[in-house]
Amino acid sequence: MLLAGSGPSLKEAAQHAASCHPSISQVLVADSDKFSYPIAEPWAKLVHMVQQRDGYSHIISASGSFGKNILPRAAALLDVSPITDVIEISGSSQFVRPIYAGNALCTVRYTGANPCMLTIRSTSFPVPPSSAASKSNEVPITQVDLSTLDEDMICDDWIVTQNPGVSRSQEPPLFYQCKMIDPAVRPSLLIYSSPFHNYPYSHNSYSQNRLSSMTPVPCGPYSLNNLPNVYYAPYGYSIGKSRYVKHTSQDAERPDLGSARIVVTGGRGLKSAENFRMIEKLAEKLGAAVGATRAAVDAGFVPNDLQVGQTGKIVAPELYIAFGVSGAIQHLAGMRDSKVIVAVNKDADAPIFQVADYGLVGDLFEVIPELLEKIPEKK
Amino acid sequence: MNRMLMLLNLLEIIIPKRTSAPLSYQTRFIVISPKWRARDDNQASTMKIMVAIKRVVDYAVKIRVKPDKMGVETNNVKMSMNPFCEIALEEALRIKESGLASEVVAVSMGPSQCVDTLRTGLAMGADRGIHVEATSVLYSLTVAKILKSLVEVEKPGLLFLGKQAIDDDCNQTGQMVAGLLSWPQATFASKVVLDKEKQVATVDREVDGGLETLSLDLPAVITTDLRLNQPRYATLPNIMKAKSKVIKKYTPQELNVDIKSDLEVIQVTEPPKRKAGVIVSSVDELIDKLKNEAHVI
Repeated sequence: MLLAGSGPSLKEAAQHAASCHPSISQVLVADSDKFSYPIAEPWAKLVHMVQQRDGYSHIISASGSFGKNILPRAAALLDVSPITDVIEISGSSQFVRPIYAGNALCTVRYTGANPCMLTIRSTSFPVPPSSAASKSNEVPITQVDLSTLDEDMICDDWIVTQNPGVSRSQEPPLFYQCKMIDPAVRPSLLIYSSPFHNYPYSHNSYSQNRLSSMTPVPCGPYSLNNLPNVYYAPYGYSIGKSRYVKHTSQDAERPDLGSARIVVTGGRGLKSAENFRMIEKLAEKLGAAVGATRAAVDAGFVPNDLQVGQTGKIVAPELYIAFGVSGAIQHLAGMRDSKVIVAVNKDADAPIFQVADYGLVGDLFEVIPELLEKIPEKK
Repeated sequence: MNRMLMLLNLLEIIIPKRTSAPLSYQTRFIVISPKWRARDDNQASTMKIMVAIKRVVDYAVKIRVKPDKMGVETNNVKMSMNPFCEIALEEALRIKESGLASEVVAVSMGPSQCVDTLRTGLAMGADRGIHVEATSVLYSLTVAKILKSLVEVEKPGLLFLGKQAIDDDCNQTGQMVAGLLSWPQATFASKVVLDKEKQVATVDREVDGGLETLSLDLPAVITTDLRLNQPRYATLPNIMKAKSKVIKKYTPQELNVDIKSDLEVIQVTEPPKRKAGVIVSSVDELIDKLKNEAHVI
């Protein structure tokens, strides 16, 4: 198990990981400010580095937004094809995954070199109970040596020439904007990464040649005269970075749609945004997340981050209750893996009833208030 | 006439000295001086945006698994641009229309019919198309390598992709090409703001349980989520215009990419059918079933 992050919470997590399951034989810990936030670039580099050092046969992450962001990038660095959204492991290199939003299941075999990289859909696998017996069975926690990571990140692809002796007077000002990378640390490093550059003669062969040559002219407070060694990179090989700005979490009162135990969904049958509040009230009472169909979103009843379906969120809760949902295939694709499906619709022929475990033909404007009254309070 | 000539001279337009000819004839000799063009180029932004678009089974089609279980029926099935790719293209076009980019290049790869998808993209407003022709199955890693090669040829400042294709649902290519290029990446974008001065893109990302905001140095890779924008429809005049736009062809070999296949599809099957449920007659019965039969509330 590989854990990365920074600070005391990482240590805590490592200790928990070391004793959480008997199958875990070692916990690797990468402690650095670089991993304070889930940014793909350093994390993918880390996975790449650990794999090159230790040579694992499989690398697995959950297929949440975190795993899906990082694992394919790491796979590209390792030159292997990752397999997304695995719902069944049928062998050491054979897996089942949904395609066409779950309307078909595809069995694939990985035939490439190690590692085989997977993201797995956590709703398809049971959570192993953490037994008290395993507590005594603590495994070693090893710190990952990160000393080579830094260098790797800066020097991987791009140093090309040193001190080429170019000055502004000799060369036409083809590149006006250059970037200084971390001036406090390496003031002699300069990199051209300017897609917005303005230069004359943009559409002739002269500039095309110039673009691929490596002679940018620095700007801003730095000039070539006061930089002894200037390194240039060809276009694209920048070491530009992502910076974490903020995380806005949604309404904490309500569980996340993707991982909620119960989801209550409203469709076009709700008729208006005001009526949709009934769905919200019911969800509150059940401790459920609120979902919506594309029709309800398009009609403006709710913001579109609530959309369940092929192009929205794919959910698989224990209980899925659909009100006024006809059951278009795109919507069914987003919720068909739910354990128990309940449908309430006044049209007895609505396709939703074909997938529902419990159907109730009736007017939702009568059913919801009755449910609100009769459903027991959540514990 | 003199006034007219003065005006034209002011605009640095060279007119051959045949004043006896009618003006309409003279105008055919107008040459734009390099000086003028250079100034023009300096004012315009020259950033290029590349957008990868995929041809997939239309999202409204109910797919059918082939009887031999080797895939999904795509013959005589309506094909369209992947919806997430449409959103990616729309965002690129909006950036260009706001004056922050000069050109939008649409790229598609696969069989020759991909040209139809590219024409749709050109009709939406892309300036040029690139078609990488390949008849074999292209997995994400190969697609990412081809895109990397094209980025080296075209030198865009931004590469947009949809977050995933609605056929294989892989959700990989953007992350992979970003890794191969060592470019910063922002996946699942629901808002993109470009700062031309600082050369930074600020991106809101839809992550589990909320929104994450990242600021990326350009050039960068952005993959688009559903809520980023509402793609436009191509208008008839633009569909006509798109017919004359250029689509350049490449093969993977010309781009020095070997088609790697380290995945093998064993079979494609229909998902298990849900067993037919029961119709309950009242709310009381429903609550009773949920409580005592399904044990979910």
